[in-house]
Amino acid sequence: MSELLTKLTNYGADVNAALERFGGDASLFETCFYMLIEDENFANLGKYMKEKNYEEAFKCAHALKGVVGNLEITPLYQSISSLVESLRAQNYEDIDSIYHQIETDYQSLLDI
Amino acid sequence: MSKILIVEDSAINRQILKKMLDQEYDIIEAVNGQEALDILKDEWFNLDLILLDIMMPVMDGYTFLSVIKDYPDYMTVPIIVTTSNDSEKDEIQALARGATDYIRKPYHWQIVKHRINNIISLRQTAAIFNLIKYDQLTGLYSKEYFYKMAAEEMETHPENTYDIICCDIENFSLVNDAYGYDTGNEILKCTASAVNSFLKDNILCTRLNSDIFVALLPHKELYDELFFTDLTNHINSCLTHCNIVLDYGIYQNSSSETSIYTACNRAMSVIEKVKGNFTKNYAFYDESFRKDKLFAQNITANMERALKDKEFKVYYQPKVDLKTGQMIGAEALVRWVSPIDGFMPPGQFIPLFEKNGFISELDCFVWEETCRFMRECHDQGLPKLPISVNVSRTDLYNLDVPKIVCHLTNKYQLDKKYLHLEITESAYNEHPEIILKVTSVLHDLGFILELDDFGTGYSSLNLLSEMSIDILKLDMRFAQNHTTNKRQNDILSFILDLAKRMGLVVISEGVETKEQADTLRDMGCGLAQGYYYSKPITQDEYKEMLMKLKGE
Repeated sequence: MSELLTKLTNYGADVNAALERFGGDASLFETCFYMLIEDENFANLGKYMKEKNYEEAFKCAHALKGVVGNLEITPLYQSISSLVESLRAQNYEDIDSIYHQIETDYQSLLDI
Repeated sequence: MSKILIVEDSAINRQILKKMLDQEYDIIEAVNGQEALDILKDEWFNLDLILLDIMMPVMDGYTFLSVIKDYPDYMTVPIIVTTSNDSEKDEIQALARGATDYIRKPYHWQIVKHRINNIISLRQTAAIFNLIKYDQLTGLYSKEYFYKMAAEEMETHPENTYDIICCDIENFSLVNDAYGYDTGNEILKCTASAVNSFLKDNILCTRLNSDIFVALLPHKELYDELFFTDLTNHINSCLTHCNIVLDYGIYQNSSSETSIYTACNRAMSVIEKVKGNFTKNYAFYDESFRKDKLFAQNITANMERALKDKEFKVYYQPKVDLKTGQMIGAEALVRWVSPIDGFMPPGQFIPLFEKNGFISELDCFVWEETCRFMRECHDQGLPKLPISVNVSRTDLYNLDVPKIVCHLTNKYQLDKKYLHLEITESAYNEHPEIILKVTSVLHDLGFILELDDFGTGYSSLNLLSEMSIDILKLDMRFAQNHTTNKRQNDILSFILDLAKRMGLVVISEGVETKEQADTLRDMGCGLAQGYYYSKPITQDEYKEMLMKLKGE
């Protein structure tokens, strides 16, 4: 297993499940992982959360959720899923702390 | 190989789906609903399945589903919607809007593969059962069956090339009108059986719609005229009531690379080249036709924007007194200067505009621009000379020309005698009563009327006696050929004489040399216009000429 995959496994990603989805093509998976890191939806999500534009924030979070789920990056997937749920239910009580969790999880990914 | 269209905005998700599917299927991609629609336009016939994401920018999945409801052809392609795992609501909504099934994100690769596989094979089996094989009226293959079988034929023999021949009965709706539907149906049956039997080596034959027949044949390099006249004669020999004329369009060398749908469309489109032509009834779809089509398409797509973006410019070509050589006015001419294509000769776009009706909008623009410009010149104390503008024949039918030009002369406070209206002679041939009425109204209002292109069409001397015109504009051929052609010279003399008797001013267009100018003057022609004196010039250049005139 490559260094990146090992690190991702340690981070909590279900690399085996992801690889199955990629038909075992580890390098395609890695390419997609780097595409995810640069996905502008992260920046946009931050912006819309700050502006409290929850409708647009929902779109970004929803898009990210699909991709992060497909890459099986479990911790980030969990935090994004709970943001999507809150936004969908229009329950904005803990929304900032949930978003903060996403920021932390995303930062840890960047550190990899 | 079955073909799948993936509609998904996330590049990562597209990559994953492609990875899962591209060994078994041909994959095309679209990043939103709009792009998918554009692809469907040309490809719907080749598609076996659409994988559709719901949330996408530009056009989302729901909108896409609602839009294609209006296209029964597109609706034949099954759609699997991809939803996220937490939203049953999305799944229900998508199914309610016509989606065939859904798969969830994160994708489970086995579920994705099986679901796609099952739906495609179900559709293929059902399609064979459901396809109505024959056209009920003619007994030829139905359109759908023809498309399917033709595509299969071409796919199983990629080494072969094929020709598509499309035939269209001219004025079939008139036949129906004149002889009734029963006779119309008889003719269709007769044509069908003739096309099928006469094109002996045809592989497949169909009636595409009402009176259009299509056959797929092995490629042949040459078709002689006899081939087509024989077929038409053969059909007519079976008909007792009437004779029909068939037009043929041929698309040669089709292979599996071009969809059968596109190939048939091409064969059909080229028929327009010979429609209404009595001497030639067949045409080949070739590169030049394709280019013309694209060119026309490009012009039509851009004309309104170009008018808004001020790409159309009005130029002025001076008119001159042949005796003194002095400028006595000008004709306003439109030019299209496109930032991309550069200067476009009017001959390339005016005929198209006349066909699609845009000419009226453009003419109105030229009329107003000319009036505005004359006002500007008058305000600057420049000599007041008339300027003539073109009134296309479509304007006379579509617009209330007297109302519009009166409004303009009022708006810019111009005496009506300064705005000359050029009406082309050929307008009279089609609807003389309309032309006579409108021109007489315009004349009574005080506008000066010029009869343009005189001598090009089927000129009628009646026209001169009936129409209220002031100036006769001789077609440029008179100026350019009369020295070499004795008979033309006689006609010119006669016209000039006649004009004199009738008190009409004559202006000759297209004067290019001193010799031409001299002869015209000697023969008694009063005015001239042409490159010998000046090409069409910009408004600034025209103003300079006016200033010079003032100095003199």
